Amino acid sequence: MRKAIIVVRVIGTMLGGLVFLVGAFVHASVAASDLGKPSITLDELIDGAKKEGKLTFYSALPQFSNQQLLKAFMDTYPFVKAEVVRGGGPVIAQRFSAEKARNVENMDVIYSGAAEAYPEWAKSDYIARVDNLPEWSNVIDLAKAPSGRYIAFGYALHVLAWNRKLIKDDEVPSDLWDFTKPDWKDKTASGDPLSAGFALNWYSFAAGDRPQDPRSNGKPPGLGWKWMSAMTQNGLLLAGQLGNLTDTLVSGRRPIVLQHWDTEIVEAIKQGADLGWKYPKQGTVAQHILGAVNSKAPDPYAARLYLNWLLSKEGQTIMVKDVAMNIVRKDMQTSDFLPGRMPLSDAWIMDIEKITPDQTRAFVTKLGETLGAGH
Amino acid sequence: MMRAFGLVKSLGGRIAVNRVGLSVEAGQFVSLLGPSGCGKTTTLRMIAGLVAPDVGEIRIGGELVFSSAEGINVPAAKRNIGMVFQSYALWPHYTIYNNVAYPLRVRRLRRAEIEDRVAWALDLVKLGHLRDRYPDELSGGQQQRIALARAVVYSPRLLLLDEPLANLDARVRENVRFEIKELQRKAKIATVYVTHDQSEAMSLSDKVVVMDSGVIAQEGAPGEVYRHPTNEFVAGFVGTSNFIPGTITRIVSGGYIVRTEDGADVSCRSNGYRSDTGEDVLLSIRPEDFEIHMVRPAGVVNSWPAQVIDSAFLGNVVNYRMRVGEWTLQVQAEPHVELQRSDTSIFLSMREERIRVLQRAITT
Amino acid sequence: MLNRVASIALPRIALTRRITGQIHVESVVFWCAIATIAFLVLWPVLWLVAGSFYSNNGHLTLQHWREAAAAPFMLEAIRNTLVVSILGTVAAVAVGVPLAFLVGRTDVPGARVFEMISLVPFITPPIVSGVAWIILGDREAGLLNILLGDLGLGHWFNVLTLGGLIFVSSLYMVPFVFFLTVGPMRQINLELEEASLVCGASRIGTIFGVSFPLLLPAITSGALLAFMYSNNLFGIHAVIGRPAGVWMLTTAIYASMNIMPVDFQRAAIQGLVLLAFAASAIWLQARVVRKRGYATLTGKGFRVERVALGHWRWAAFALCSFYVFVVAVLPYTVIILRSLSRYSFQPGTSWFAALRNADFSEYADALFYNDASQRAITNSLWISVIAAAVAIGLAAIAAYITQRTELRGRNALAFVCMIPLTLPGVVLGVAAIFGYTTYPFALYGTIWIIILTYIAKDLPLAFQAADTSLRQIHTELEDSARLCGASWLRQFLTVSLPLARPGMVVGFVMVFASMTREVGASILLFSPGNEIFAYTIFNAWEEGRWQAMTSFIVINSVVVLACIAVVLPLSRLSFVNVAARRAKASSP
Repeated sequence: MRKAIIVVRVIGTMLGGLVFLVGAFVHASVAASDLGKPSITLDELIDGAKKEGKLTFYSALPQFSNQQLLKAFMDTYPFVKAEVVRGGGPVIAQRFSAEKARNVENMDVIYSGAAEAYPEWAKSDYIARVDNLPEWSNVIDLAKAPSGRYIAFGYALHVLAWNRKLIKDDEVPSDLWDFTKPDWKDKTASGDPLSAGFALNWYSFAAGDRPQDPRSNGKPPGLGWKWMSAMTQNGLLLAGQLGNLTDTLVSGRRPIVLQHWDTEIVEAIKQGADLGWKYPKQGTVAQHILGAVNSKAPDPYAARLYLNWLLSKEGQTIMVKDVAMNIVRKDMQTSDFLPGRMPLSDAWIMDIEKITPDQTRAFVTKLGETLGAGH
Repeated sequence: MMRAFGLVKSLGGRIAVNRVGLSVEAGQFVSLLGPSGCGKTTTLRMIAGLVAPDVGEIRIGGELVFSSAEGINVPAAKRNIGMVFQSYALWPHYTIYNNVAYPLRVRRLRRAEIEDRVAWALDLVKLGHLRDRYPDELSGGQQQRIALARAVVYSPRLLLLDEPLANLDARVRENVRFEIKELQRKAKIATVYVTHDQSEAMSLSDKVVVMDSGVIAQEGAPGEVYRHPTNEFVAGFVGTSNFIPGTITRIVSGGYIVRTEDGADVSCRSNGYRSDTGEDVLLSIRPEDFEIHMVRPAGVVNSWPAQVIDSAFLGNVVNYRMRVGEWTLQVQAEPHVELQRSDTSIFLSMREERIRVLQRAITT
Repeated sequence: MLNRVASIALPRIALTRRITGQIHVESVVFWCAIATIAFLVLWPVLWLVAGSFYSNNGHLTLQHWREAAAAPFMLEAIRNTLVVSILGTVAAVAVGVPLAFLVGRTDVPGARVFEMISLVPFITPPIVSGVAWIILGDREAGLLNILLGDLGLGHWFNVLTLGGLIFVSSLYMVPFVFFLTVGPMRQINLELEEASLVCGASRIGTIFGVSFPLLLPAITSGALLAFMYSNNLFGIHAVIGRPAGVWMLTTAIYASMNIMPVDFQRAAIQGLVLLAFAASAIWLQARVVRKRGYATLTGKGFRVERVALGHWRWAAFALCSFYVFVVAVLPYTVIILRSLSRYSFQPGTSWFAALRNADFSEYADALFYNDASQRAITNSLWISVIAAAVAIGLAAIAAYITQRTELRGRNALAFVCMIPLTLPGVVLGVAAIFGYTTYPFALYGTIWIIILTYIAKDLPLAFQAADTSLRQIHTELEDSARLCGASWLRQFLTVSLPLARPGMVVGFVMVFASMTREVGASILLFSPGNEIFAYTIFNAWEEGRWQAMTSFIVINSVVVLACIAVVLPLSRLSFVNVAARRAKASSP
């Protein structure tokens, strides 16, 4: 009789444990699938984020931009402690892919300038659907991914910039072909497309053979590989990522940079540097600042809350006033805040959905060889 | 007390010790004497247990401490032996007291007993007043005596010394040598002493074992080994010898007539060396065994005219180089015999019993 | 059972067989250490080799090798690497040997101080040097060029060239040559040289005929080490080489690991090429030194005297000071200055304006506000401490096995300990990613992959330190302890360890310093939450946040120096050296 009682007790405990586990699993999957439903409310996001309390943002934005965004976000939602992991576009994208491949889940929200990666992530189910976020419908269609798995929360337009202490405004040509002439030998610089997404994006524009989003009206620039070779011969310096390029320009190591984010130039001017900028004759590329959420994010609610906030009026105001990028809401105009900024529709925008990883790899390799930056 | 049989050790592809056997009685002082590389230190270290022989057997105090056949190898720590090294091997981070007390602590003796024993050992070497110093504050001679004290403080059954005087200056050497002898006598420990210095070996030992190229060339009491070397090596290594090759031409009662290569006939005693006419032998004569005559000695069998080539005055003796027939011989005489270089009219003679007849090594 | 027959060539009885056949403490310790070392070194390297042959789908293929052989950048990177390594080594020898001569043999004033200051590159991450020299030597905006321009001499110093890369690299390679030759310089028995002079040879003839050949092993060892270390200068290759358009194998590896999509196999192949270079260099050095007998560097009758320089004394002093200035003072001054302002000195700004507006915000941020950098500092410290301690521990046991036992294969063990010397940090990082993220290991993104890689990387340094300090201890000191009845463990704890302590502490400090400045491995292995300070520094450079980067550098140097200052007194060098000296005493 005693033995039977013991056996019953043991079995009972085991069953209880099993029920508990099953319940937890069901709860978790229910919770996760909650986030996949057609639309989520802001309150749900806030409740969930309160329980999670933290956020990890993988970002290729300049550090000061990250700080501005996160500070404003945390002011609005003080219960989320947000941290940023910064790296260059391709670097941060590669890190995310490597982690996913090894089932390491650190990232909640990602921005990488290597935009070609996003459609692949969508296909591999690395990133989750975000078209159910409350602010999704307030954003222009151009910025939305067809798959609904990522969205642009801003656009950075590239400009031609120079150091006014070394060059007078009227000495600066508008035709990028002019920089291949001997006058400009060893005087030009750009970003390094192999380590910086922003440069990769601009060189995609310059190459002329990458697919263009039909909704953009900017014309192909007529530069191509020949122009790139000529520039390399003429001593074009690949100065690394955003910050390095700015420092190169401000310190005078090179008086002219052929492509840089308007946001960086604006920030440098705010900090007291004497810089000038304009759009070259060939036009420019608008680089999508794409945000996406990890499908197995450690903090799924906080992640979505943050992305949602980036798309909200508040977030977009920070984006246009402090980060100084073109914004994507239907009810806000970039030109109200940043006069002199080219409207999105006039710029060239790449169609990332049409690109395969092999094409990207081939493009990157060719870029490397042409610009003297190969591996 | 200690018996070793058939020890063989090869090092680096070369045979360092080739079937060496050794025995030491209780209280006996045995020296292993030989030039560097003869295997004496290796043999000592095998007895100590610091090196494992390839083949052989070692018994200490009746206990089998090593046997290659039975796979037994008692570690050095368990063999209860004392050892003194050439470099003294005093631990620089311990005081003298702690150095000497170390083996007693290992044996977990009580504090009082350790005190007593250490005091006794330091007294034995007359350095009790240095107990609180550190080794680097002592001179070489003092350090070696402390090493000695440490080696005997736990009354081991065997004491091993590996060229302990080699690092000391000549004068200090003599003093420490004397201490070692005294200590061994008082403590009555079986001792094995390794050295290349034959005067050390002779003055200290009850038995001398001469080694050459991994084998034992001869063993015996010092006097025996000196006066009656049984082979060329021992004759040349222990003391100095003149070697004259020759051939036995006749056997007479108790001896031989040996004809040297330049035709001289030498009369010798057989002293245990058995051989036949026609056999090639080596005659070995010590420099001090010659007699010098100013005129041809009458009635002396082995005498020849000699010519002085060179002389070296050493204070208590004079070493001459003299030409006898085709041979240049080293002759030692007392200083009152004052010979000049140009002296041509002297005669050298040797007594038959002083000449050693040795087997002639085959020269390849 | 062994035969009783006394034939000669019978196997040795292992030191570990006893009467009862028990397992002994020392066997356990030894075999555990051997297994750990073999694993730490060989496992990643094997995976590195294997990884280059596997395509992403898991098929065995030579395709990646073929692609690599055909890639023009591969050849360019190889060529650049060789050029920089060889020329840098030549420059290092040309500077290091005379410096060692001046400091070690002559009566130049302040020799001790110079010797200490030449240690500075050992505690400085190479990236520091790279950054400093860009600030100084950029053709347009470099401070040196501005100075020259003000003097009317024009801007001719351009550090962003192959020559600039060689120059900055060689600054880092000089200490190796210096430290390996200054000791032997001191110890050359003057009588050997005097004998040559007496025979009628001139001073110059003596130098070439006697001194130089005697020093050849030391010089070639130094050159070899410098050559191999030149590939550890990832920081310099990245910071100066990349903008200069000079691709090196190290930066090529980093690129391979960071392009989208990542090219593991190419990185592995690049790493193996570096390994081949280092191995060839070792082989070459061994051949150069092999045939001579260098046993008597001192010989008997030891006499050392300093060469009197007469009125050249102060010229020599100026030369040494110049070296110290270029290597330590100049870079650090520039770094400190740069850390005080947001942007590099703009054209037309004066020095005083820059100093007046000194901005300590980045220091404050790193130390007080920024969680990630605070984490990075503490992470780096405790990772380095643990890894250094483990490395020294393993190395001590390995050195003990090599020197004091008759274990078969102990020479192979020493060799395995030295293998990581041929692998720059960035290559070890790639190998670690291959080796520790495949089944059954899943260490990617953890702190352990960093620690294991650090240990493997600095095992050679630890082994050399442990080996040297163990060599100082006469075996007879340990033997006599055993004969006194002590067990192996007791002898190890009461005699070996205390006597080895000074050398081990110094070894620990050197390994610790080496780990804190490792950038190459850190950048591949770090992960969020496991930031390492070296990576933070590199990242700041990549982002172009020079003020932040230079602030980090200053903080890093201060912290590392503080740790060293705390630990170093533990290495009281009192008894070992003194005992050796007194052993020759002659008074009764």
